[in-house]
Amino acid sequence: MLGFLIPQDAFQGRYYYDRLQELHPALYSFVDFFGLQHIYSSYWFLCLVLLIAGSLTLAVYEQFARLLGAGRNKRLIPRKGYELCSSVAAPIGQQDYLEKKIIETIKSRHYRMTAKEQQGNNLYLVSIKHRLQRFGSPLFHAGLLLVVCAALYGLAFYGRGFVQVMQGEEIASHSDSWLITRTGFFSSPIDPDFSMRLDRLSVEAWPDEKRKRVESLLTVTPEGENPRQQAVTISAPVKYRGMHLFQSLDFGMALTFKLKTPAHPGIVSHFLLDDSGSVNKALIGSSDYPMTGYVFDLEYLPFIKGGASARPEVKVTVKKEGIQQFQGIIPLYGSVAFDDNLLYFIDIRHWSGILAVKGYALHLLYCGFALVLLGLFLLYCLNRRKVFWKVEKLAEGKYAVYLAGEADTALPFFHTEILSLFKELHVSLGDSTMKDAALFTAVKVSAE
Amino acid sequence: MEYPQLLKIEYGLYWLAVLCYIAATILSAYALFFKKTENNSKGLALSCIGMLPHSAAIVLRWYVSGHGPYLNKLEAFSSTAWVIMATYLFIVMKHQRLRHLALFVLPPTFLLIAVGILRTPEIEYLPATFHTIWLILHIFFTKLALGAILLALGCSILYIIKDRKGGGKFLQRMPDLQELDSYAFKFSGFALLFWSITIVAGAIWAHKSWGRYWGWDPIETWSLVTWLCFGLNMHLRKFYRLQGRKAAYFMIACFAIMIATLFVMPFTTATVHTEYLM
Repeated sequence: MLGFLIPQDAFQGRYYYDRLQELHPALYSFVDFFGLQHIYSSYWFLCLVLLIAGSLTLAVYEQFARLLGAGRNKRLIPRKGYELCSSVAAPIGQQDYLEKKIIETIKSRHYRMTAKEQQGNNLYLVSIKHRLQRFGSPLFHAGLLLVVCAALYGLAFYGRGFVQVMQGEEIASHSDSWLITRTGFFSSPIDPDFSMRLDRLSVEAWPDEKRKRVESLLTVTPEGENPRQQAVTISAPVKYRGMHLFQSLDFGMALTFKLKTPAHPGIVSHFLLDDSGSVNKALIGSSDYPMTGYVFDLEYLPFIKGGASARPEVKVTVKKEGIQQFQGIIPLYGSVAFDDNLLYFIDIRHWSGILAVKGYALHLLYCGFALVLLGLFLLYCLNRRKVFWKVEKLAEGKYAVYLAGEADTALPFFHTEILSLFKELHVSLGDSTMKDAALFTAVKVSAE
Repeated sequence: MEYPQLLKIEYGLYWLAVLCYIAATILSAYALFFKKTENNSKGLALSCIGMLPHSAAIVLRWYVSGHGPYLNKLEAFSSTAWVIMATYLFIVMKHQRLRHLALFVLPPTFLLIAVGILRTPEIEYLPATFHTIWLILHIFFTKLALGAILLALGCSILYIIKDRKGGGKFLQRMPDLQELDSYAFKFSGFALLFWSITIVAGAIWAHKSWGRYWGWDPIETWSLVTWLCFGLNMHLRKFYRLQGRKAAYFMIACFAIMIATLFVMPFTTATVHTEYLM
C-alpha cells in the first residue's frame, strides 16, 4: 500500500525525486535511506518477503508432517459420541443386509467407505466425503512458497534487455546494442550468444487504423550453427536459448540521412521514429545530428506520397542553438542545401523493438500458481465430511443404528445431509412410514 | 443491416433488460416485505426474462465488434451484470431459500447496464495485446468473483439484520442464522478461488504481453490487497472459527475493498487497465 501511496521511480520517473532532492534535501535523505522511491526492491521489503518465505516453509513442513502423522496415529473409528437415531427392525434379520443397505445409501451420496470394524455385537462403519480436502491447506501453502521463491529468484537473477533493430540490420552476438533496462542483484546483463537480423516487420491495422497485429520476422544465428527464422508477435513470445524474446510495443520507421558539410564528406545518421498508433497520423521525432551540432525535428507522413515521383516525403526542420536553419520537405532520394551543407534523404525502412528477458523462474512460478489454485479449491470449495455408523445388535432380527458426524465447516448443510441419509436408509429398508422421524432431529454433528 | 441500426437494436435490448430487472426488484421487495410469496416467483421469472434481451444485446455486440464484451465501459459493465445475474439464477435454482438475495443482486445489475449505456456505447477494436486466451480467463473470473462476493455480501447483510432484529415477520422467511453464515462462507470461498484465477491469468497475460508477470501497477497492488483480505477472511473463518456477526462485518469490508479495486482505482489512478475501460 505504501508503494501505491508514495510515488515510485518506475511510474513517476526519476525527475520527481531529482526535484525533491533539490527542494527538500532532508526529506529526500529520509526517502532514500528507506528506499521509499523503489519500495518493492528496498532492503526492508526484501526482508519482509524473506520472512514470509520462512514462515511459509515452516507452515508447509508442519502441515505435511501433521498430515502424514495423522494417517499413522489417528484412530479412525471413535467409540463414543454417537447419537441414537433409530431402532431398525430388519425384516430379514440379517446384519449383512443392513450393512449392504447402509453402504448403498452412503455411496448414493458420494461418500466412500474407509473403515469397518466388528466389536462384539457392534458393527462400526466410517464413510468420508471429499477426503482430498485435507491436502488443500498444505498444497496452497506449498504453492505460495513456490511463488515467493520464484519472485525471489527473479529478483536475484532476472535480466531484461531491449534492442532496436532496423529492417535488414543484423545485431551481432554479444553485441553492445542491447540496452540494459534492468538486472537482478546477482545477474549479468543480457548478452545473447546469437546474432539477430530483422527480415520483416508486419503491422496490421483495424478499420479505425489502430494496431491489430505486430510481428517481426527474425533470422537468428547461434554461434557456429545454422541460421533459423523466428516470428515474434505481440502476446506470443518465443523462447530461445534460455531467453524469452518479445515483440515490443515500440516500433516504427527508420529514416536515414547523409549530411555533407564543408568539414566532412558525408555523415550518415538514422532517425528512429516511433509508430503513431494510427496509419493516418504522422510519425514525429527530434534528435541531434551527430558531430554537427544540428538538431533535427522530423515529421513523416506515411500516407502522403510525393507528386509525380510518388515517393515518401519527410518534413524536416533543422535548428542550431535554438535558431532555425532550415525547414522544408524532402522526398526520398532527394536532397536540399542549407548553411553550406547538403542533406540527402537516402533510405526509409521499418525498425522494431525486441525485448529479451531471462531468469524469471517461470516453471517454478507456474507450478506455484497451479498448486495455489488447486489448494484453494480443495480447501474452500470442498467440505470434508465424515459419517460414523454404529449398528448394535439388540436381539435376533432387531438392530439399533447410531450415527455421528464430523465436518469442519457448513454444519447446517451437513446436518441436513445426515438427516436425509438416514431417511434414505429407512426408505431403502422398506420403512417409508418414517415412524421414527422425531428421532432424526436428535442427530448431532460436531466440528472437526 | 447497417451498423447504426444494429446499435439501436442493441440499446433497445439493454433498456428492455433494465426494465425487466427493475420490475423484478420491485416484485421481490413486495414479496419479501408484504409476504406475497407468489410475487417471488414472478420476480424470479422476470429476472429470467430480463436475461433474454440482456444476453441478446451482448451477443449482438459480440457479433458486430468481433470480440468479447470487455473493452469499454458498456461492454465491461453489461457483461459483469450478466455474469452476476447468471450466478444468482444458478444458485437460486439449487437453493430456493436464497431467492431473497435478489434485492442485493438486481439493483447493481440494472445500474451497471444503465451506467454503461449512458457512458461509452461506441464499439472499439481489440488492441494488439488482447489476442490471448489469458485475457478472456482474466476478465471472466473477475466477473464470477464479483458475482460470488455479491451473494456472500447479501448473506452477510441479512445475517446482521436478522441477528439484530431477531425474528421479525419477513426475516423468518430467510434461512436461519447458521445457514446464512454457512452460505456466506461458501460464496466467499468461491470468490477467493475466482479472484486467484483472475490474478494468475492476469499475471500470465502480462508476462506474454510485456515480459513481466508482476509490475506493481496500482490495480495489481490493489488486487493483491483484495486477495489478501479475502484470504485473511477465509483463514480466520476456517482455522480460527471466526463466524457470526464479526465475520459478516469482515465480509462487508472485503467487499468494499473489492469495489474500490474494480470500480474506483481504474478510473482514478493511471494504470494499464484504465485505457481499456475509459
